[in-house]
Amino acid sequence: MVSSAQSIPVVTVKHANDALCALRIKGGGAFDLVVSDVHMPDMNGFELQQAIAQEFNNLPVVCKMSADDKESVALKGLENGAAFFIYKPVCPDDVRDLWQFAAMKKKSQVVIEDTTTSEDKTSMSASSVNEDKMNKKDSRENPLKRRDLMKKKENLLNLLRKKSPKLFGLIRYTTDSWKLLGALALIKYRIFLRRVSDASYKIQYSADHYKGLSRNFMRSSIESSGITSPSSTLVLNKFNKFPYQKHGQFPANVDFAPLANPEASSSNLITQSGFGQSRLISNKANLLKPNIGNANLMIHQNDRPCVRLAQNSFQTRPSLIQGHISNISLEDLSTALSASFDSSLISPIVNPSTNNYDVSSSFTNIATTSNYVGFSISNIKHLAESGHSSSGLDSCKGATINLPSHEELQSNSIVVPNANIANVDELAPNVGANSNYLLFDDNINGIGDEQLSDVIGDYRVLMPSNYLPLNCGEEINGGGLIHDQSADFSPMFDFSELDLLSTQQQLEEGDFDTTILADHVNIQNQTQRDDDDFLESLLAPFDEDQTLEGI
Amino acid sequence: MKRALCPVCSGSIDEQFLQLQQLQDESSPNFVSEVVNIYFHESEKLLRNLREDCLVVVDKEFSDYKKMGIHLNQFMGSSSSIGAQRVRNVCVAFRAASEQNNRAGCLRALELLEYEYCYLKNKLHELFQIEQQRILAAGVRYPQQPNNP
Repeated sequence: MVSSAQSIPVVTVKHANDALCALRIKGGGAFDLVVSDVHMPDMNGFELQQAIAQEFNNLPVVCKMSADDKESVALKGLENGAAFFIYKPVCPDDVRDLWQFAAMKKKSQVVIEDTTTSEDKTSMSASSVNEDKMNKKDSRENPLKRRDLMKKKENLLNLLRKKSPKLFGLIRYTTDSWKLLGALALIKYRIFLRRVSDASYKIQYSADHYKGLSRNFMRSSIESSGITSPSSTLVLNKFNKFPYQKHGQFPANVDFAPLANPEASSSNLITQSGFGQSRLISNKANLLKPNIGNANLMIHQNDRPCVRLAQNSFQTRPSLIQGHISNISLEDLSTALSASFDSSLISPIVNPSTNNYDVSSSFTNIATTSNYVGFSISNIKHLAESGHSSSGLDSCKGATINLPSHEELQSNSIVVPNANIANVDELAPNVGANSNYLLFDDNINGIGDEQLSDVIGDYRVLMPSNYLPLNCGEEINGGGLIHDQSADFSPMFDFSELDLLSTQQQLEEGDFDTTILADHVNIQNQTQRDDDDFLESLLAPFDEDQTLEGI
Repeated sequence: MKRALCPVCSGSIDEQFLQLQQLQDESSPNFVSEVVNIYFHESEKLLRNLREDCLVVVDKEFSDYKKMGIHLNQFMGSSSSIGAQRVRNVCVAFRAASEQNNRAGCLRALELLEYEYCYLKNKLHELFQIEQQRILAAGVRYPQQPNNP
């Protein structure tokens, strides 16, 4: 129906062999795009794609669809040279992307043909013959170059899958280069932020104000509307519990700055691709271009009331625990950070929006030895047990933000633990008119001694294709935005995905051994730096331009 | 429409069904009903196949579970395409049980699947009936009453 609305002739067949016959009868050049399913009775989609690639030189693009959302299936499709891999259910945005891709491909082919024709006409000398040969050679090399880039992308995807399953899960749903580009840019940005935080200023906080606060993360809520208020409220309540509020230095309603510069090259990226913007994180420029104007990481904001915590770096004193805030969006509730504090406490610098006052000046710098930039989840029982000085941190007592249960997940998203057997019996009470989700694992809240990385690694979030976390602010896809707000970032993108080695730190009441904590933090930071360097070295040859050209 | 009758509100279907409705226009006025009927027709076949697979499956027999997985994949794909959210969720659980070669789990999931499918079918039938009544009511024209002085 969409194609009819757009006046695109479509030939549909029920079997793969019929598709090959139709291609042979009409000729490969008559078709701009082939869309096939993966699992078919007589021939699977991969075999069909290979058969098409062998028979038709002009390579009509094959786009795979599958209800099988396993990563191996998607990777296999990519290896075979599929231009897209779309998960079911297919939404109109996917169809639009396909159409635009086909249109762009056809347009580029026409341009190449015109160029070649004009060259033939201008000269009949031997040099023109050589030019023709070169053109042919280039056309032969382009597929090789394309495969090379595909290989690189595959390596990167494998690395991401290994290092950060959740990040991999976020970008695995399509081979769209824009999404991968967005993910790569975010990784680079994270590395950049980490380095900036190393050289950033020190924040001090008056020592006698805080206890250890538990530092938790809040899972992103990916409901489409109405979620920002409660989550913001939740976080704000947490902040309200901060002791420094007693001094009137912390706002009751904090509005944080978005991270990045509103202007970015991502819009250029989009125009270059010509693709739709429904699921492109690059559509949201703020994510791609950090706007680190000064060492204080004062980040300019837009008017969007999205709540983001500016990224700060903390250098832990020996007697202090680290605290950090990363850029998150509380609208999607991907993470919520409550700084950890000690008796000699520290407040993170929060960059307020233009509507709010500057709280940074109200805080004193602290020196921390940790340069950790990222998120942590409060769950370090051993650290809590080692104790820390407690003085009046009643307000922060048990200030843990539990990971929201799956009530807050989108209704058709399911979390299936890797290690656990899906207990079908658990489905029974959830099946019925009032249940919109299935919860396979009750321990999703991450309460316990497990590390965040373990929690993330243990679970695979299976999301339908109509839900793309990298969607940029579209409410229909669960952007998590209030209706009257516009987002220039993907509210569902979890920056914690960039934190490949997330650390968990939970500070509870009681004394703790800051020395142990500092050592622990340093080890984690060093490990994280090594991983970042490794990632960066891997990303270096995988340039953005190549990413654009490759797909 | 009463919220109790609305399958979207009850959680049986998600916004994918609404997108399906948006594809219906004057050129294809019965698009949704046609697609839904195809889905019902195929689903009943798949459910029969799944029940046969569950009955003949022997624990840890890979080929039986593989066959079940194929049918399940088809059912899951069609359910997700039509927006049958809960049916799809149960299919995911069913697939997990089959991957674990858990025969009891598969049987239990099959029961839940059939329950959810029946529930969805009833809801969609109600929806179409209400829609049909609405269309008929819109076409009714009452004779004009003469004005009495």
